[in-house]
Amino acid sequence: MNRLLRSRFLWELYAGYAFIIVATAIVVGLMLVHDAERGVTDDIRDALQRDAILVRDIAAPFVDAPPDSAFELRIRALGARTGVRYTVIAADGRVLADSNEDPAAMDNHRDRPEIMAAANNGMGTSTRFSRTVAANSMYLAIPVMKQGVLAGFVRTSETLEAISARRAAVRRSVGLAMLLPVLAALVLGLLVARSFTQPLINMTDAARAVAGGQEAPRLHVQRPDEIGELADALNAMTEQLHNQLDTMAADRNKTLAILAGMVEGVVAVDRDERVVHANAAAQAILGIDARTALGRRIWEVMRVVEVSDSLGEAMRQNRVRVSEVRIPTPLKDQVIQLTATPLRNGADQIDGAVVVLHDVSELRQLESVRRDFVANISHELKTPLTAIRGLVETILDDRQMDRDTHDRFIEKIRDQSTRLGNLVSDLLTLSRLESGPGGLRFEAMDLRETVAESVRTQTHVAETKRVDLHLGVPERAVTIEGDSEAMRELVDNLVSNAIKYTPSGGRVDVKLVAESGSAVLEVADTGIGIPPEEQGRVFERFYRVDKARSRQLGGTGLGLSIVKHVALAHGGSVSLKSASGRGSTFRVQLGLKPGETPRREGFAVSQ
Amino acid sequence: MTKHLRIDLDELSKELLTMGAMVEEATNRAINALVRRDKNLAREVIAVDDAINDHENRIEDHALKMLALHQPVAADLRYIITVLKVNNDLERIGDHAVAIAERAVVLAGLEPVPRPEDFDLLVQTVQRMMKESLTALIEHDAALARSVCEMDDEVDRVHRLMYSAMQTVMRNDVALIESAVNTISATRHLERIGDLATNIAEDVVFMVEGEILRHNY
Repeated sequence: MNRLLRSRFLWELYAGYAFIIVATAIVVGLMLVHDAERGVTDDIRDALQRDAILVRDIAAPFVDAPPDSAFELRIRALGARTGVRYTVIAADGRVLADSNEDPAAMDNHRDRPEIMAAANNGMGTSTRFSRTVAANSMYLAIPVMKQGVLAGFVRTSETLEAISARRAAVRRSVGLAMLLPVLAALVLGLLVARSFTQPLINMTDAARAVAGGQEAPRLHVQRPDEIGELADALNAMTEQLHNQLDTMAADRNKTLAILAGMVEGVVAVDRDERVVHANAAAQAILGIDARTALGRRIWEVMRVVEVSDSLGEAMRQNRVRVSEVRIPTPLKDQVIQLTATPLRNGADQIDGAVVVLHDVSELRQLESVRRDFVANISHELKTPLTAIRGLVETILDDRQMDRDTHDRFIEKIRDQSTRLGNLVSDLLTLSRLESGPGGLRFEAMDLRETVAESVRTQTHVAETKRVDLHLGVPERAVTIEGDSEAMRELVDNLVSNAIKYTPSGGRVDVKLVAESGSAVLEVADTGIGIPPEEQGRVFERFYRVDKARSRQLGGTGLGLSIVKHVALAHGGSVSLKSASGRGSTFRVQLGLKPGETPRREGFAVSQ
Repeated sequence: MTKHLRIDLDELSKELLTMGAMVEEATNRAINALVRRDKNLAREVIAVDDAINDHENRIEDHALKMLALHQPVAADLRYIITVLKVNNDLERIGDHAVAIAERAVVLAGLEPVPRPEDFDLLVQTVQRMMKESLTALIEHDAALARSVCEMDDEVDRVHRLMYSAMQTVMRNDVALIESAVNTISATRHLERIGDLATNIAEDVVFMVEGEILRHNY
């Protein structure tokens, strides 16, 4: 309601209307009052004239006679009865009788304006202050004629109080009569104006709310006219706008969700290189915080020169720019591939740029592993081949070689070719394991048999080297789903490694247990051990802690890699506990075949 | 202020921050090379020094041209002077990074000395001082700059500890003397980087508040 009263439109609409109504009422009222007042004066004058004519008849016999007290009394009585003042005046101006005053005490009245007018025109009126009655009075005088000669005057008068009272009464009734319709018209006008203004105010509020991005309520304007149509149009517009905003918000959220979910970092900047967007990945890679970075220059918020350079160049040269940058981090450098693309606006002008940060550290790492692998394998293959070729050439050159040397050379050739054969078969095993589970035949198998078989075949080697080889297996079958050949490789590699790296007089414990759903094979030795910093890498192909010693012991550098791959192919895991000089314990954990899980108490004795 | 001056100041800021990023990266790489005993990484740091020096000359040239051309006053003048000073400090930090990298090359070929725990603290503090002094410069943050100045005491303390730690190493094992001497040298350069980062922070305080902090600490 307050808003309504302050509405300019309401007052503009209403002020003219109210002015017309009030002005009309005042003009009409004034005219009515004026008319009525004139009527009142006329009425009084007519009454005074009538009275004067009547009194003239009474006074006619006395005007030219000497003063008569009876006549005087009669006039006085008449005045008292009618409330009108009568004065009878002789032609020379002497007052003969008066209804209110002693005529003897009165002045000569010949010079009174009404008397003079009556003498000249037959009738005279005058309105002035009367000392006799001490009030404004209206006077009317007419001449008394006898045989065409002026004999005297009769004057009637009434005080104007009576006239004023009647005028006030007239004004009051006219005022009252005007006031009621004016008030009614004003109220009605206000209501009409309000009925125009209120919907406009509501619509303004709604439009303002929509402009301010707030939820606007539906307008309820039931009018058949243009205002109603405007409200309907506004409602339709609001709804349309809402739908569009919802769609846009949903699109935006979708885009943001996609950007946030990307592994690649995305940073977008505007023409001035100010950050417009940076997704979570970009924030992590560049070490920035989007909340503080937004709206600031890209080169202010992060310290990787290449990123801002590539964005700037993409914009300047208007082309996609791909580059690579290494970001130093304490552990190892991150290699990030940057793809900067200029952004164009609708008018095909460059409006900013976006850079995609792709972490290729792992890719580069894999590439280097592959390079290393090729280099390693060539080296590993070449070493025995060179040895064989050298030996063969020596035999061919030296025809007179004695039998013993000849045989020793041939034996060496056999050893080297065996090593070459082991290497190739290890490589084949690895490639079979790496090509996925398709290369393996899974079947139920008792791991106890595999372990026992492997230990049995290596007992001889252990005895020769004077290493104590112990085997501990549970009484019940340890059944897993696995490829028996691959499992055999795994156990062989672990056991032969343990024997190989354990000096004479040492001890190797091979222990198989089944516990809470998994089979655990532990191979513990008292050998040279593996330093902590090397432990993570011993499962890599061709990785050797001590290259010279390993080759001397006839290793291919692939054994532990095979162990790891077999375990992984069977859904298991390998772990290593070791300390330099205090031996190593390899622990392989594999899932038991479902349904074959022994109850806990069933194998407790075997431990 | 004229529009041209504004554009030039922006350009100057960008160049200085680029310089800062290059130097910070070189420092971090040199430290990584030292810790990881990585010769190749160390050589990369040594190779990038020419680019840093070129950049320093370019910034100085640009700043002097601006002084001559725009004749700036008050805050703008202070800013350009700060840029000149910080630029110089950054170049010297770059030199120290190269020196650390050279030590790293030598150390990579020597028997490793046991690294005292304090060394990691020294490295972290110096890296943080570098990073925060540059951040203070960008953000015009005098409070952050003052906190960088206070960190220098910590660097000096750890530096002294490193000295005595290396002395102990040398006393215990004569074979490690060469490694220890090189390690001390690298540590000394790290400490100098901390000092220069403090200089930058002081310049930032001067730029923001117009107050000269130098030599008060």
